[in-house]
Formats: sequence, C-alpha cells, structure tokens
Amino acid sequence: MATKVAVVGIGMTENKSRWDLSLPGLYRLAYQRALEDCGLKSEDIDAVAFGHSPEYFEGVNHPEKWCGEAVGALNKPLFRVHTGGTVGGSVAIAAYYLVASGKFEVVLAISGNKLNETSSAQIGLSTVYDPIMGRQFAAGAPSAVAVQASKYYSQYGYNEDHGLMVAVKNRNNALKNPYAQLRIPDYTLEGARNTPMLCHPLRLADMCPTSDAACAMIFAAEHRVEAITDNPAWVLSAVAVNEGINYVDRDWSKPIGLRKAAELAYERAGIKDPRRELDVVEVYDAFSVQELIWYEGLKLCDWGEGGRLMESGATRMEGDIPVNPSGGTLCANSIGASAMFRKAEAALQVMGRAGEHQIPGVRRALGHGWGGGIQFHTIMIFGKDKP
Amino acid sequence: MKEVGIIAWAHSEFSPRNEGMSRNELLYQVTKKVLEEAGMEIGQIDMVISASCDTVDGTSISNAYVVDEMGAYMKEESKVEEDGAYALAYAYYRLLTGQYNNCLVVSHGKISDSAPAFYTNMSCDPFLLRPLGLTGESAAALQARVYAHRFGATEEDFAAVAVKNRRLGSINPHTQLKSPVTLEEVLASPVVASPLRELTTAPVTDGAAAVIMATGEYARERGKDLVRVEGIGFSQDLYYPGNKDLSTSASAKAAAAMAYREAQVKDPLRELDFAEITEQHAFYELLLYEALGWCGPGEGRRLLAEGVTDREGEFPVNPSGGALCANPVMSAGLVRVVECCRQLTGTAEGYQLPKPVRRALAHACSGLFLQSNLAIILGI
Amino acid sequence: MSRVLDWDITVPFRWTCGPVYGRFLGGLKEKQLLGFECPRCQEVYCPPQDICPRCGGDFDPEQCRPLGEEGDLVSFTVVEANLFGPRPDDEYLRRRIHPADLGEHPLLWPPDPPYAIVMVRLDGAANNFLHLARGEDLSRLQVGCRMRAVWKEEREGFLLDLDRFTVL
Repeated sequence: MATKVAVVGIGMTENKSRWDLSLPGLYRLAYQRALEDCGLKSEDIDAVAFGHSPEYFEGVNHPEKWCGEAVGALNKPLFRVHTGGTVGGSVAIAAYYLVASGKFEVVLAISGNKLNETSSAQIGLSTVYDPIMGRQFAAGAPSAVAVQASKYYSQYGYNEDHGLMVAVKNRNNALKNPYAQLRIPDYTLEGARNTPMLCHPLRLADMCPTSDAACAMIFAAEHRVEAITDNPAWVLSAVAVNEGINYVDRDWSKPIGLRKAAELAYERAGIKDPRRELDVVEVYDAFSVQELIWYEGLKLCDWGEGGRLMESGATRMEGDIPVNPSGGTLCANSIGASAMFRKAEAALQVMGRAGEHQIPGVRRALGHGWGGGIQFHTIMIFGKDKP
Repeated sequence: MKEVGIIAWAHSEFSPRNEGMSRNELLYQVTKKVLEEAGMEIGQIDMVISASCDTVDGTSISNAYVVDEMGAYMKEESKVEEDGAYALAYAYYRLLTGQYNNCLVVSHGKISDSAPAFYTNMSCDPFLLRPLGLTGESAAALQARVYAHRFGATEEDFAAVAVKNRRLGSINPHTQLKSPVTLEEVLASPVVASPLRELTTAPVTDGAAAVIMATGEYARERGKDLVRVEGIGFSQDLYYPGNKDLSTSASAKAAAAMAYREAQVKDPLRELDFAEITEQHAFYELLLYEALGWCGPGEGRRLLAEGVTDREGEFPVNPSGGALCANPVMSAGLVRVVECCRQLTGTAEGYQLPKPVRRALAHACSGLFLQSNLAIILGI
Repeated sequence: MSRVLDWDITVPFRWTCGPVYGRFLGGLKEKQLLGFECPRCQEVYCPPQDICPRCGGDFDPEQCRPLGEEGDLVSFTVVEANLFGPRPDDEYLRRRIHPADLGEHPLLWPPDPPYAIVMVRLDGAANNFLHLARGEDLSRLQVGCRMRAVWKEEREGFLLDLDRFTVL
C-alpha cells in the first residue's frame, strides 16, 4: 500500500524578466522560499526531482548538473524529468511517487525556466516539431494552437470572443496574484478584441507572456507531515497521460488523453462528480481557448460545452467551479515552472493560503498541466482531509 | 515491502552510425522486441517511462514525437532526461506503491545525428566551462591525470582495462566492438586528449534499450521469472570540477552506499557475484572499483592486475565488455542492467560467466566528471 | 530507402550571469582574478559558483578580493583530436553561435588542436580554476609546475579575457 503523501511547503518566484539572477540563482530563490515556507533545512530533504523544459530555451544541456547544488542537491539523489510544458507537473508527480514508494520521506520537486535567455522562445519551440516531417513549417507553439482553436470554434459554433472571455476573466484574476506577470488593470473584452491578430484566430490577448520563473514544492510522508505543518495539502491523486502526436483521427479539440487522465485521477481520489466535488481548478491555459477545451477534458462539462460553461460565469472567481483564480498560465508562463504553479496554486487553495485570490472553504482542488505536441496532460488533486 | 523486478529486456543493435533507421524506428524496434521477449502485447502495459535527451535528438521534448513508437499512446507516462537506468529507478519507485502491475522502460539516443563533442560541450555552463571548448573527452582526461597523479597509476594501467574489456566484448555477440586489442595496440592508438587515447575511450554508438518491470505478483501470475531489484542508489555531487576531488567520485560512493543499504549488502565483493559498470573511459573502471567500495583508494589497478575482476575472477566486472565496447548515449546504463539480467538468468549465450551467479550490481552515470551515479542491485 | 538530412539548429542566447558570476567576469575585464570568500565557512574560491561548494551558503558578491596571478598546475590535458570538426568561417559562426547581446566578443569556438585545458590552483584559493594553455611548448606542462595568467589586450568581461595560463 502506498504511503500517504502531503505537500508541506511551497516556494515561488515572481514571473517576470530576470536579468538579476543566473539560471542556478533563479532555482535557488524558489528552493529557499520553499524551505522557509515550512521551516525545513537543506539536510531535511532526502531527494530532489528536478524539472526544466527544452534545453534550447537556455542553451544549456543537462541544466540539473549545473543547478543541482543551488537547490541543495549535494551528494543527494536527484534526477531530471523533462516532458515539455507539463514538466512542472511531471516533476511534482515524480516527487510524489518517490515519497509514496516508502523509500523517501521528504522530497523536493523544483522546476523552472528562463525563457528570456533566448531572443525568442518560439525558435526553441519550433524545434519541438519533428525534424523530418514538421519543422519545415513550424512557427512555434501558436501555429499549432491556432489550428486547435479554429477546429474548436468551428466545430461547436463558438467564436474568438469565447477565448477572449477567458483572457478577460484570468487577467482580472491575476490582479490579485503578486506572482503573476501580466497584471493589467481594467482589462475588458473590448480591449482584448482590439489587440493585434498574431496567428489567426489567436490575438495577442489570447496568448501567455514570456516569463522567467521557478517553482518548488516539498512533499512529505504521512508520518513526517505532522511535525512539519498542521496545514498540509494531501495528495489525493497524481496522473499523467499521453496522446500520440501523429495518431490517426487525432482531434486536437477533443483531448481524450486529458479525459483519461481525469477519469483516473477522479477514480483514485474517490471523486464521482468533479463539478460538484472540486472546489477550485487551476488549468494550464497557455492560450485562452485551451481553458475551454480543458474544461471538457476535465469533465467539468460535456464535450462541446466549454464555451457555454464560460458564458455561464461558473468558472469565475465567485462561480461554483472557479478556474484559474491565480490568473493561470495566461498571465505567467515560464513553461518549466508553469505546470507546477498550477499544482502549487491548487495546494495553496486547499491550505487556505492563496492570499487575495483565495476561494473560500476549499476542501479539494485540482491542478493541471499541458505539454508536448498538444498531447501530454498532468493532473494532481489535493485535499484538506487526509485520504 | 513489495517485490519489484524485471521480466524482459532487449536492446537494439549497436552501430557507430545507423543511417538505416530514424530514431523513431530504432525505438519502435526495441519496444517490439522487448514485448516479444515478455510474451506481452502493448495493451497489457500499464505505464511507460522513457529516457532520452533533447540535445542528442536535436529535438525539444524528445519524447513528444516517439510516444506512438514506444507504445505510450493513452498511457500513463513520464520521461527522465538521464540514462535509461534512471528511468528504471523511477519506474521502480512507482511500482513499489502497488498502484501498477508493470512498466515499460525505454531509452534511446542516436548521437551520430549530431556530434558527441557538441552534446557534451553544451552540457557546460556558458560562463566558466563552455568557452574552454571542454568536452566529455577533455573532462575525463583532466580527471584521469588527477587520478594517475594521486595514485601513481600509469597509462599502462588504463590500457589494461581496455585490453580486458575488449577481450570480454569479443565473445559477446550483442556488442559493437567485437575485436580484442593488445596492450601495445592501445598504447599506440592516437591520443585524443592526453592521457586518454582512442582505445581507452568508448566508441560512438547509436542505440536503444528497453526492459519491462513488474511486481512479483504480476510476474508469478504470468509464470515469468523475475530478476529482482533489491536496492537502488543514486546521487549527484558538485558541478564545477575545480571544486571537488577528482581522484574519486563522491556521488558514486553515495549511490553505492544507498543501494547497499537497501539491499542489505555489507561486503559487496563477497555478497555480489559480478558487476556491469558504465566505464566510458578505461580509467573510470579503476576509479569506480574504489568508489563503489570494492577496494581501497588507489587499489583499483591491483584488483585488475590480480585478475579479480576478469571473467574467471572472483568478482567479474563487465563480462559483456562494458561501455568500452558499446556506449549508446542515454542507454549505456540500462544496457548494463540488460547484461546483468542475461548473466543472472543464464542466457548470456557465448559469454555466460563460468561460475554460478545470483546477485549483481549494475552502474550508470550521467554528466561530466562522473557528477551523477546510479547503482542497482539485482538478484534472482 | 533511408535518407539523411543535414540541418543546423540556430538559436541565439543571452545568458544572465547573476551577481556572483557577473562580478567575477567583470573582474577579468579589469585584469583581476577575484577570489570570493564564503561568508559562512570563510574559504576563498576562484572562480566562484552561485553558492559555496563546501557549505552550500550564499556568496556575497561584494566580499571578494583580487588574488595573485600565479598558481600550481593541478591537472591538464593536451587536446590533440579535433572533436568539433574544422572551424567554420567567422561569418557562419557569427550567425550561428554568437550570443545575442555580447557585442563583438570573441567567437565561441574551441581553439584548433593541439591546445591544453589546465586546472590551476591559484595561490590563496581553495579550489582549482579551469582554463587554457596554448601557443607554447605544451610538453613543458607537468603537474605541480607554476603557472601564470596571461591577459588579452582587449577585454570585455568574458572568461577568455584571460587568454591563457603559461608555464613559468
């Protein structure tokens, strides 16, 4: 039987351009904040799961070797996980399983990127495309997501406004989150409609910013939790599921991989009706329209109902199933840390420590991550009560 | 505690430059082969953990385009950006939770698509090491000289490792370099970066490897023999080479200590029957004898000279010929595991050790200057 | 029928040094080999990392002083094989490898072999400094021999402002 595991400490850096810290320095900041958050010392950490996204973002291969000692991994077990945009989630999941195995008691998960180290992250992202069949026409991530957006809008009779509604909701939420990068007062649908078209049907307003950031989470085994904190976020489930990139009949507007991940995660967490039983959800909305698609994958509504769920206001801060009270990835995206920010925000909500964007009375929260060629999904569900 | 082990293993053919297959095909073939070995279909696999590297592949998110080929479609999956043996470690911890029955572990690297020097130089930080043009070879050379100077080891000592491993590799039908070499040939081979020569350095190898891991219950239900994982240890030490003692490897010591503790091994030389280690350079083998706790500091060459680690010795090391005969980037460590499984199950046809073997250590490493090491104790 | 495609990946970078590396590289521009004293364990490192390799403490970028220019050779290797292939022309390198905002600093490409990578323990330092030796009789290199820094005429805050170490 797996050991029960809880999140006991969280450390975040602000999402912004960071010309003051080296790559190891940025990781160190998140690491130190996580230690301070739960009063642990370097020697209390048994192992480290290290996350970092494509090497073509900073041009350093195996950055975990260079950055290890900055996160206290000196003569300690450390391995690097890398699954693209999902990496922050995959690393948190890895740390969870290291503790759940019973072989480690306290494990650090840390992940980040300095996207500003390259003059354009999109050049790096274009190298995601297959070198023989794809890179010839790659234009970074927006070109792929634009295809996903067009398909989604046309299939269900939605339009650009539905994506922009997400942008308006999340940008207004971000005003309450000091770690978000885009905090723009008086952000309106009208204003969003007037931003430049970048990759039809995606406008500037539909896209995430380029951030430098790192995020750290400390996971502890049940028998250690009490001595560390009286306010843990228990891990109820941790799942990552893949779709294939070239699979026949693949429909980017219908994320069956996410649906499977969600079903597994709900089953393991004992959740039957996610819309009712979850109190808050953080999804990886690197592009506005994706939030609508992820609603459906996560079974917050049926296939094709994402736009209408948005229109209903249910996912607003005061709705019955608030999504991205932090402002989400749409307001802060370092890629390497983003999927972990979603998990960490969900855990903070459960702890009641999300600050100004805290949703009252949260008992269960879900954090999601997206990555790869619109194909990887990670989910972690946290609960206030020990499972 | 739950029993977890390996029920099937495979690796690709090894070649210095595989122009006949894309990396996708390489991975697909090895996945197919390991499933055949296990007598399983992909639908029976619960989870896939892979190992590969963006810089080796020249592709960001190196697992994105190979999900189908490794059979991970609509499965729980993750990827480590380390040697495949680290992916095995991650799979081990996940299986211990009891949440899964089995896991496919795969790794691939087609280093000939780029050049190893670019890969290792890009592993250097941009401020202090990369401008020097440091590569895997020059890094190892600096370390070799520190080792040699501290213990009075000579080029002949290093060459003797190459002679032993190439001789052992010459009877291993699966490896890449199948010809033995003499001491004179090694010492006459061109200097790459002094004191390292071409023949004391591992070859360039394209390749992939895979194992299927399972819980004891699952293996028994299916009537499969299990090569048990009895303990795993891994560790990373300091990055900048000027900050550490290069005559040994602190992380290899820590990794071994952790694995021995879990497997309750007190006297490895007695309690283990043989080992497969990732000696990408001949002197690594001597240094690792010491760091992995098989002899005292500086005594590695004595262990070798006395024949203890040879095929007929009491503690054979690299009966497969080791990484000096085939060094598939991202898979070299997982191939050590495969070689241990072959010996432990008596299926190392043509190179099966003469003595009975029940327990072994497989070693993997990652990073320049042996910065990260991993040890796995396997038993039947 | 298998085919092989030739292609480069061209990504420009601008690497943030942060306070410690930044101070150290800035010192090179002034012909200074700065030793950084760890505020916690008092060891002096040249070069430093972001944190103290011994005790894991943070360096104070201002707590540093110039060390002398001489030290002992701890290890070296003479690189004889051309592992990167032939050096491409400068125009190609400028396009392909040149970091985006470092101006006209020397193009990043390893020297043509033979050249040496040396590890030097500067007098007063607790660690070893990796750098180059080149343009001289490399057979004079011996572990334990004394080495001295040789500076470039034009410097800009980059590791190779220090041109090389030479055998004394």
